[in-house]
Amino acid sequence: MSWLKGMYNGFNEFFLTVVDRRELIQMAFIEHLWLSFVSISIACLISLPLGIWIARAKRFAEPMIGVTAVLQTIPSLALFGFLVPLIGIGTNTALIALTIYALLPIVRNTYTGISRVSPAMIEAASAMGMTSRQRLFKVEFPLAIPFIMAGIRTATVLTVGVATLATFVGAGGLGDVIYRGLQSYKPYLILAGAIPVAVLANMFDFILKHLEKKSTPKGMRIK
Amino acid sequence: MIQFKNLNKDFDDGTEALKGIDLNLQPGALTCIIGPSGCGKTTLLKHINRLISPSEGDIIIDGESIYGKDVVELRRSIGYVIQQIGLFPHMTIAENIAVVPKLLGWTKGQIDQRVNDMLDMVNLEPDVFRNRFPLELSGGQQQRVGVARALVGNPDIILMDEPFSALDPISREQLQDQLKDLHSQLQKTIVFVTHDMDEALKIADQIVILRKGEVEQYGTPDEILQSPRTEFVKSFIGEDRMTRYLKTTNKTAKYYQDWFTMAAPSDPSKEVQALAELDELIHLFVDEKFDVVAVKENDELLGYLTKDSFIKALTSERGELS
Ligand SMILES: Nc1ncnc2c1ncn2[C@@H]1O[C@H](COP(=O)(O)OP(=O)(O)O)[C@@H](O)[C@H]1O
Ligand SMILES: [Mg+2]
Repeated sequence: MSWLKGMYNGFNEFFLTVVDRRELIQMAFIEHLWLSFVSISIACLISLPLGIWIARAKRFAEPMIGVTAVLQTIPSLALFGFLVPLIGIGTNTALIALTIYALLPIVRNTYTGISRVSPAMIEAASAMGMTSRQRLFKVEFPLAIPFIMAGIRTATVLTVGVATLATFVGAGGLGDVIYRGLQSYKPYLILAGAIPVAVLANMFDFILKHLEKKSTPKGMRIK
Repeated sequence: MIQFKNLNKDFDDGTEALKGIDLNLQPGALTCIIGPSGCGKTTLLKHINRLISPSEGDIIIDGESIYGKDVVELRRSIGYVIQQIGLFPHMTIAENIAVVPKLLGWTKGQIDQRVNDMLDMVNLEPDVFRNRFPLELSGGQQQRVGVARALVGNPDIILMDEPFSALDPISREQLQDQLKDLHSQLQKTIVFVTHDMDEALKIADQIVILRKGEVEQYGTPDEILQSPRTEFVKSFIGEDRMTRYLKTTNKTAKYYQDWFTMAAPSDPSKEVQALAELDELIHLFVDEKFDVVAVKENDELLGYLTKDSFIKALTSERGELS
């Protein structure tokens, strides 16, 4: 029965750590949430128009998606590192790095979502005398919404994970908790930072999946 | 009304899709453009609403070049129906039909009324269909909505690109019949692309036969059947169709004796002779709009032929022969 006792002790210790460091954890949690939320919002503001634009100007699509894909392949720690000499440390650096990471999934899915609207639909819309703008807002965009939402969801889950690195540029977040745990050899403190990250990521995933379903136009949910 | 003037289209890859098309389409007529696959039918049709621009030449509608008009306005004055139907899946049937009226800025009341009228016109019960989505409808029903959508802005011209060719044979026949009815009611100029000669002969007032981007013959179905101008036209129509046609034209009113009724109609009816030809019967029923005629042979009444039974007779013949 010693393993049971070990587990009990473990939980107990973890619980005590959380209670002991609750202020740190609470603040880190809020910072983490804020960093993720702001960077995703900025990424949306950039990626949606960009995705729409390259869906219109196809010759720019390959290079644009290429660039965002390359940005994505930079190891996340390295990206934070590159930005420090350029911008210094602080929240802005973290937001920029996180935004760069979130671009690709949203740009790519917006582009794909709009590009795969069938030519028949586009032809019908144009032949009715819709201007290019009307066609975008009344036809192409609504039909692309499920794709775009999926892109935002991917980006969000990714960002919540990567935001743990914000601590290295002094921007806080749950990474702070983990880092302190690492430094002081306190595995329970590491867990106290890592578990909320996982919870947050799954929570966003769940909420956005739900939104994705709800935002899919009703006529397209048939069959 | 629609005039093509020396219309040429070379695609970027060098395909010469249209070569010097000169045509005058009659206002109010249902003109079929027919020819083998790849002969340029779709390309020609899409020039009319400027979905494709010509390499050379001009198109005149009502005396004005379409290239001098605002393209959006031009398109809103031309209905367009395509084989792939192209209804918007995220909109209800009513919303799909209402797209053009909304673009034109009609009021909600006007739009609702008009949408109901259009659904009635294409034989879809408004109460049942208004709030359904395209994916909940059969192909035939969807294309009816496609037709309603094209007609809703009351355009003078309607372009149709093989609208019925993806449908099952029964829906196709029904929609062809309904299109003919609609056309005789509304008297719109309809340009209808098909590769199916039977379809063209059934619905067309005028037929344009295209081959490799050139007009091979332009005329009424009768003219084309009676005097095909080239070997190509002859082979495209096919021998059996020509003989079948000749048989039907020799038929007289008496030929339809089996379909006569002896019950005198309430209204006094038109008298025709037993030897009256098919053309005359069609003229009386369709153009003069008689519902029934009295067929006489040497002053002796053979019976009454109603429009309905006459149409049934023709339909059953077509069924036997094809
Ligand atoms: N966008 C295009 N680019 C190049 N060639 C084309 C294009 N559209 C059509 N064509 C060619 O033009 C010819 C006529 O095509 P189309 O008008 O679609 O024929 P149809 O409708 O009679 O079957 C065909 O040889 C086709 O391959
Ligand atoms: Mg075609």
